[in-house]
Amino acid sequence: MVSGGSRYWKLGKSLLRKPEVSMTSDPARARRQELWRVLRYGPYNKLLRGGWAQIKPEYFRHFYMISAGKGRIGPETEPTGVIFSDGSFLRLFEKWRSRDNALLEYSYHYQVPNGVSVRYEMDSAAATPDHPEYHLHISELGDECRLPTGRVSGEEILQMIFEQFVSPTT
Amino acid sequence: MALKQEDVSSQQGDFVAAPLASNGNLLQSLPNGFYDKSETFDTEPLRESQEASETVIRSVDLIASTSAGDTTLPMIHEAEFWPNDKVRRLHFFDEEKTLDLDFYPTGAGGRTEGKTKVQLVGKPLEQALRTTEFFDVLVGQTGELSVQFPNEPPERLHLTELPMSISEPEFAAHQDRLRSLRALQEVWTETGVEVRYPDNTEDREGLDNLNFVLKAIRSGWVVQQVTDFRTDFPASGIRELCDELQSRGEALRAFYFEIPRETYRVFNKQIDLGPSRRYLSTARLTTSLEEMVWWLTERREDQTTFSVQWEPVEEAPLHIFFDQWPRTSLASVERDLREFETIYETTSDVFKRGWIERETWARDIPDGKRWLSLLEARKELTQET
Repeated sequence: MVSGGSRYWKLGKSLLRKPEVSMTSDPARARRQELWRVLRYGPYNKLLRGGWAQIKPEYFRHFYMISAGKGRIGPETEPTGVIFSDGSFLRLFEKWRSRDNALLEYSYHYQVPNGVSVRYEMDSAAATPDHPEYHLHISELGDECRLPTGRVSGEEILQMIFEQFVSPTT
Repeated sequence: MALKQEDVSSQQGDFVAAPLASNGNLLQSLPNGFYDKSETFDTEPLRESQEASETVIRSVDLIASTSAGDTTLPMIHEAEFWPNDKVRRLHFFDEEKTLDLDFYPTGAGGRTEGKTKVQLVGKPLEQALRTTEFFDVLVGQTGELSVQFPNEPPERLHLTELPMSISEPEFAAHQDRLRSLRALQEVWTETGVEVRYPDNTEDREGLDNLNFVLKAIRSGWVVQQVTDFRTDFPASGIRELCDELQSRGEALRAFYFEIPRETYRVFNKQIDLGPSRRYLSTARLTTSLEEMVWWLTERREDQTTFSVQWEPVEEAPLHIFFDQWPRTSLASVERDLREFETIYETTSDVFKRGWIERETWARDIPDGKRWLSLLEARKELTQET
């Protein structure tokens, strides 16, 4: 009936579609809880800007994801994701298979404002001899350089940042 | 030294909260849900006493044509004609009477003048929003308003030029109404509860709760300032607090609460947000030592717990996390995809092709993995739908 001008008209009834019912038991939220456990207690919670961090769970039938922060990223960008008290931040992404809770992909990008960044990645689908399945990018070596690593977890990355980068004792 | 953390079950009513002041308080105020621009008709050309006229009623479409395209609103049309068949009055209104437009020919150069009434209070939300979005085009964009009769072929007649005049304060109030209706629509879409435009626009608590619910359903996380809160402690815990007060002069704790269910009154409806977890990094006990000692010595046997009061230290905020929010739906996935397309200035199709072909620009997108996964999710959700 309408050719343009109104978002409501374009989306029509889809705007009124009732949401799915409760998803309290979904594994994405459970995974978020696991990461929150690292952030929740002192002394780490004191090293977070605002005392907490927003982590988004998204659950679908075949897979689920958790993520923190989005948008362009670099030394000059505004912090998003898990933001630490010194202004540095962690952008976090994990993708899991719903059927068996197998980890499919991850990306943990830690950025120091006006400074270096490190990014741990799991790229199973893209793995080749030149592209290790688990690897680390360091900004000073350039994005093409992938240093092989073992598999790391979000919890380990958070603890590493707290202890080695933003700890009050460093 | 890390503070001792208390993990407790609690209830929403145990907390005395300050209004959300700085945490995305999206709606500052609510204008009244009524707009009436009739006062300009000091010299209305018609009077009740004038000669009777013929009236024809039909269903029509009002069409606002602007550079952005056509926007259409189905209306009921009442046309009054003088006995000489000249137009006396063109009246348009929708079934819910949310919008009422009257046009009168002035006779001066074929021009028309109009009356406008918008009535949103208590009206079905879907229609109130549809009308207000249409009205937004009428007063906000350049173009023309016409009426289309469902004849074969359809016949379209010009009514007036756009934008229709509106005073600055009224335009601002209209935009606030539109913003409020969109917020209520979002709440309806996400929670299934239809909250209609309220009569009492001074209901500050209702508005604060609407802002709270919006934050909760959008991110699942609300940061709130609380002035104080209460928790129940068993006798052993009270003794521990007494010892701390005596030895250190104060008792400090971090708190982690589990709330089984939170509900908020948004104007005349209750919104159930389900279970939540609340976290506060530092709070100081404000219940006096004397009061706790009195309870320990005078309590009856059946009094197993004592309620003590706390206040946040240095305005430490309360973080509230809702287990069931935000919900993932096709609409939310589409919204995120559009956001990525805007941020990275390319379409999802182009991005996906670039990613699959291992093009560096696509692989360098920081949100690439999530973008690709959302495309996968959209496919999955579309198939399910």
